[in-house]
Amino acid sequence: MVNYLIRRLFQMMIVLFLSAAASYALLNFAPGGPLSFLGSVQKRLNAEDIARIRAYYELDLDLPYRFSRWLAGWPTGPVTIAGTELFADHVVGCRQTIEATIRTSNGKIVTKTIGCKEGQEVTLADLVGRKTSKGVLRGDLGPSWSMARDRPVSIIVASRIRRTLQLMIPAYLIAILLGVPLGVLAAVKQYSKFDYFVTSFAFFGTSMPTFFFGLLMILFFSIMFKGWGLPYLPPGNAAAIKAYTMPILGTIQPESPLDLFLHMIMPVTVLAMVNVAGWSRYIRTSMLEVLRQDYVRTARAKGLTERVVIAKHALRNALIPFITLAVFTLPALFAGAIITETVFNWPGMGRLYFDALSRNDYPVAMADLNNRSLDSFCHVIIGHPIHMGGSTYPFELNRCSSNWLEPPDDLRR
Amino acid sequence: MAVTNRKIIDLGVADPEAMPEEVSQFKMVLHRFLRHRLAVGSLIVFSIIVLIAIFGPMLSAFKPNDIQVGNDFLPPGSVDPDGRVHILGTDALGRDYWARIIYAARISLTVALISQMLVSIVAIVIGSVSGYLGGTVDAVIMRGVEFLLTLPSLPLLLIISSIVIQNQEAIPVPEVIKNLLAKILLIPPRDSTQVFLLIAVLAGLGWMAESRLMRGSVLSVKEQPFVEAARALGASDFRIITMHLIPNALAPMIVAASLGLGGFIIYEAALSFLGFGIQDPTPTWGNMLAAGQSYMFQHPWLPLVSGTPIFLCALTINFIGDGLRDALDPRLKL
Repeated sequence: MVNYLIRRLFQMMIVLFLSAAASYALLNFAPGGPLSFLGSVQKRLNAEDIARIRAYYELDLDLPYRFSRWLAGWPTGPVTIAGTELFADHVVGCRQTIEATIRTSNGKIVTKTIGCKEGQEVTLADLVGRKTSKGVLRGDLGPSWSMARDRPVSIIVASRIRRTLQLMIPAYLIAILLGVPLGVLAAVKQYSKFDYFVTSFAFFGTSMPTFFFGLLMILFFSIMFKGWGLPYLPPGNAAAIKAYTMPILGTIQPESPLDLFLHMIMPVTVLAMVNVAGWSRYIRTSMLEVLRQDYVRTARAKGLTERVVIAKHALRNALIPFITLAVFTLPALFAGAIITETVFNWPGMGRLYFDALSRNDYPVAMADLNNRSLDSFCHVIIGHPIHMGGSTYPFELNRCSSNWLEPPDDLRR
Repeated sequence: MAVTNRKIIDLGVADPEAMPEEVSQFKMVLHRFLRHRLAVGSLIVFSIIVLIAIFGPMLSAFKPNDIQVGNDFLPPGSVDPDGRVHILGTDALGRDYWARIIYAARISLTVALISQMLVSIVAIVIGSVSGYLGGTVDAVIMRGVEFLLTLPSLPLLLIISSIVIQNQEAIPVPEVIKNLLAKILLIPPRDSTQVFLLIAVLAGLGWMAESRLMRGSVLSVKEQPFVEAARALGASDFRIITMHLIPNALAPMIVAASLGLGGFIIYEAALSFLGFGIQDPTPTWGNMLAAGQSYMFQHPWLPLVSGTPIFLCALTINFIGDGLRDALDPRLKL
């Protein structure tokens, strides 16, 4: 077991490094670039200013050096071995690039960087004295670029994680508390009316896109309820900004428990429904499989009551794969739900990623992306071989239905 | 005695009732599929949606991009000066909503269908090669697939499609494909670039799970006697894979493909909804839903109308997939 864990840990480090490198490179190829938020101002800047701003965001460094400084806070200057400075003239970037407009073979005009202006190369020696983050490995996520200028990314993330957990934990608990009994009952009463109800509900839940379901709820519970003069649910955000009055319920103070509860109802329902649908079906499948086992028949033959057979013998065994699945889903709670949070304008981690991406704030996007890689690593690599190979990861897009099909390799062999 | 005995036996053999009826595999599968009533109903509904998408231009008096000034947000059933009816009203720019919905059906369904076809082809090739060859090749491919599965798919999809869609001018797309897509989708060729790129992105990030499924399926078929027999007869690896392994390992792939199709419809809609997919003048259900969301407080039917087909397609496809699973492999039914 220790051996297994060590191997997985080692694997995890490699995978996380690769995925961090890949996403860092990917983000830096993204269009617009980090300088686009300067917008129209950029036209009034001269080359010197642009070079200064590029240096400020480290954009004048070549990608590998930038990545290594982001990851480990290194190099911060020439390499010093035994008192002598080495590689001081090693070129690591360029302050002012030469851009040229080229006509490509199919007649398009493209602006390309073709080289570096004479004397504008950045060497390792120039890096001395630049402000630098300590590196992600030492817990410094660096400063934000555009969402909160120069404030550490970790502060932004910390402020969002609270809201995300406020949304994800209730949804997770509801999904377990509803999904397990529904699945078990459906399996015990296979082909009954109740079973058909649960199965249809599961199909409904896995087919309903979260963004549409969210909009429908807003349409009904916010817009129509308000029109009918009933207490309506706030269509977005995690809490009100100022006190508001609601029919029947009276005046509600912002951040009061009732206010938070009203704001939570819709997004939690959407997320819970998706997971109840997936998990109840998962439990039903694994319960049906267990109910066919010999030891269940033996238990019945011994004369045990059906209650005991199901609760003690069948359920406990059927829950094993589900518990593994549920435990390895836990890290994903920190990642939030991109689509649901966007629909309900919920200030959580998912929404943060969406905002960071639309506003070119790459340090924030990278922090979020790494968090997500870690979560999905836990789920796919560690979780997968243990549980039944089904992915009911609480991602809101359901391609998971096809994964229910996939039995683990070990059984196939 | 002996004579009478033989007579009885003869009678038995000659009696057509006594012989088990010979049923082809296809008939058996069809019979089992038809027993699944929800799947059959879903197949009918989905076929109607597909037919509407195919014959869309004949079903609407309007073009999806005809802008009429002053006609914005007409309620459903309004009649324009020429006596044509806006069946579902008009959107913010005065474009006929029904026309946009059915042209969007064409685009959304084509994107999902082509992506799923590409995914299935890649998955079948990679899965069967990896599963059949085993050893180092298998290990390398499967570690790679596992790594790609580790990457969070939705966030990555968002980044890549935003890069790709915003740089669409710089990415060379063969004119042939562009024009072909434009002709199928009835949109100008310059707009079909992003459709092609979206298909590429969706397929590029979607083939891993199905490759693993195919590999598993091939592994289970590979050890069966008929493969051994083929090898003993001197069949080449290529022949064994194409003639024996793939046809016999295909059942779970067909089910996965049908379910994956629904997944791609939702994926495309989600990307377009978030603004990282196909952009506005080209209608898709996703970007129409996003546009409807902005006006939902005044015109609540807009998101309702554009979201329903997404849900309907996903639901019917899930039921069809379930029916196919029951029909193709009864052992899988639990």
